[in-house]
Amino acid sequence: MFKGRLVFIFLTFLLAAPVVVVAFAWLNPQWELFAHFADTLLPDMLMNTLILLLGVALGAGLLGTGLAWLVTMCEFPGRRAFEILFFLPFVLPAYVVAFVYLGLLDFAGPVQGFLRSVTPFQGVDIRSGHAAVITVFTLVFYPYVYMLAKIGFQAQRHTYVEASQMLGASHWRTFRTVSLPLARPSIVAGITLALMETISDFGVVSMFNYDTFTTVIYSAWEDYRSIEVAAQVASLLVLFSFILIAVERYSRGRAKFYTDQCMISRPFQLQGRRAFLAVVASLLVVGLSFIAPLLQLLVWGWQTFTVEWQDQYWSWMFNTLALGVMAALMSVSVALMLLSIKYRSRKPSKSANLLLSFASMGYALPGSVMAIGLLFVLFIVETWVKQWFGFELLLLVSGGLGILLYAYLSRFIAVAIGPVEGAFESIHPSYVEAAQTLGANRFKIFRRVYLPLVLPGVAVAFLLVAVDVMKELPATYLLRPYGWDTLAIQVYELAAEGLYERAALPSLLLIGMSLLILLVVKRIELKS
Amino acid sequence: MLAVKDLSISLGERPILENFVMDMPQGEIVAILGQSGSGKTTVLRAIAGLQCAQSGEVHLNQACVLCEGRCLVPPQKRGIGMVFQDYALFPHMTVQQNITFGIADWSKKDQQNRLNELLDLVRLPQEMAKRYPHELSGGQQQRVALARALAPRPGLILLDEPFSSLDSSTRYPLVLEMKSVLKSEGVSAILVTHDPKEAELMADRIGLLEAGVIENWQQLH
Repeated sequence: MFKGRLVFIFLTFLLAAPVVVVAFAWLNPQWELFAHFADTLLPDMLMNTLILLLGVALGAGLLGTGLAWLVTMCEFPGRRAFEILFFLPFVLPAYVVAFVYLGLLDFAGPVQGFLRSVTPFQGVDIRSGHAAVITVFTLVFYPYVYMLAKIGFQAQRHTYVEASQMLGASHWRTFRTVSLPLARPSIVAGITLALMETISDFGVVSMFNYDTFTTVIYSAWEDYRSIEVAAQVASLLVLFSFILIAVERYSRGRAKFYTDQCMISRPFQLQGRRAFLAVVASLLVVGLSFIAPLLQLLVWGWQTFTVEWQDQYWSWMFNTLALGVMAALMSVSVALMLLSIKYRSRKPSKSANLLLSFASMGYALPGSVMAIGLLFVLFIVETWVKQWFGFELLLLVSGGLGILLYAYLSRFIAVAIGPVEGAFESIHPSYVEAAQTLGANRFKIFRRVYLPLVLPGVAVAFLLVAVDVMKELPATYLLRPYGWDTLAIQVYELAAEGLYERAALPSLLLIGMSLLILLVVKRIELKS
Repeated sequence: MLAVKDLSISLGERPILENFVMDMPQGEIVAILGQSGSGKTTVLRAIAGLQCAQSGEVHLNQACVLCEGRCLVPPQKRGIGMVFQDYALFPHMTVQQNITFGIADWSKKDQQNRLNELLDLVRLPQEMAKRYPHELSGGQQQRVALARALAPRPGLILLDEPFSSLDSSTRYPLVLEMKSVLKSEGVSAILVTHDPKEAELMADRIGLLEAGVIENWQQLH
């Protein structure tokens, strides 16, 4: 028991190390460089970041919540299909959608070209201003809000809506005062995820030449080689994420938001004009966020296949899949280890929950910051070893794949813990006790009770981490060892050069692989 | 005040109600007794407007609210109160916010007066007004649900097995209490239950629902 606890504490600290280290960067402040950034880049970037976050919170929040409410509370033609289709943009990496829309809508693109030829329209630079970049992030990240808001709406009893109606409330008042406030924690969690993905992004903002906090972090690291300042700026981002979560938690007060019931029927049957409007709006969202980018990629991919295809794609595909599978295997194994220790006792302790949240902090950290944190750890270890033992470890050079996988593990362990913990929680202690009273030994209990109940959660966790890692760009970009280029890197490098048509091929391969994995997840979810 | 004529409802291929008929005058309390799956909750949902029908009519105060199976008046416009089996108290609202939800368009003063009046009527101390539903016992939640349904002064209240989650020691005293509250407010009520004793204590008239039809009504008072 004691050994188990030690392993638990060691693992949680190991997982949280890069996050903790980022905060420790303040112990060695480099005020001169910080002052330089404060004078030059920071004010504009602060304003840009704030406008971007506000825009995405509003855009992804409204879209994700609206769609989740529509498919949970209303019955309309095609609802079942839309329920899955709304989720699909999740497989599109943000940088892919960004370059597709840039290629289509940029000054030199076909849409503006056509408009200039048939109308007096002079053309606009979609890279200037905030609207285009906010729209791209909204279209790509609304599925986070959609996914979680849907859970929030589904967890409500259908009688709440009926009770509100019976008390004379209109549909709008029922939505505003009952359904929406009850789903608020889930919606805020979804928006928080979307915002974290937004502030950690570096592909989209660099393609749109839109300077944000991430630009300062990269500049501090790439231009000035200052891990400390990069980490200090990064820690401000982490602080921002925590403030966001804390404010939401505090605002809940004593009120209760979750019930142990779920929506068993849809209270609103849409007919006639309303059903038509629901279908048109749904088609518009799916068209803009998934079908249009995918069709454009297919067209470009077809046109440039012979130019772009080279044998090296086999190795990029292998690297992408290998990194995804290795990171997923590690994350799921660590999650299983942690949770089997936690659920050993009938009532898991509060400290175990606290340590698990501590270990999951990496998800709140942008990939770029995670990379910086890790580099900072290695930097400290290197300096320390050199100082005390007089030789160079060259961890930054030789650590290679191990460092990258550690970064993935620390960043995505929360994604693995979620579904696996859900599975563990579904095993009521009385199941095990019932098996014991029926004469089953430990092995039989594991094989016949635990394994079948945990397996679907484990499979979902494995696949979700794999998809996330395959799409991941910033940490991979900064930490990948020589020879470990992935499809995501290839997409970014081609798109950054403005070779959008050629970037279609690696994008399609990446999307195809992610889509395949996602379909397997859905099958497992449906089966369980 | 309520007349149900030849109401037939099927879920898919399965008939739930077949030519269901009932009448009730103002102020009467009626109990519909039946096993689970007998269609008793469906009767309430059709009267409430939460469920439409294949055929039949529902008249409320001489007005046809459900005609030829079609819902003509939505639930929020029927002026009917309902106490749900799970009470459906909004968990993010206090007792006060729950009770005044249906009278939000009244003046603040009138809302406060009605709240105080109802808390007294259902015998809940005034300080409970600031509590959240999950901070109350099952019996207290049930009283709040009744007070909330009564707040807008509906002519008819539908009670969908509101005592089923209470244990027998609290259940029967509460049934009698609820009856006296309903009588003092002069409101008509339909109680659906599977417990004959509950029906006897509460109702002026009892009907046994079997296979979607009530053959006989038993007059108690």
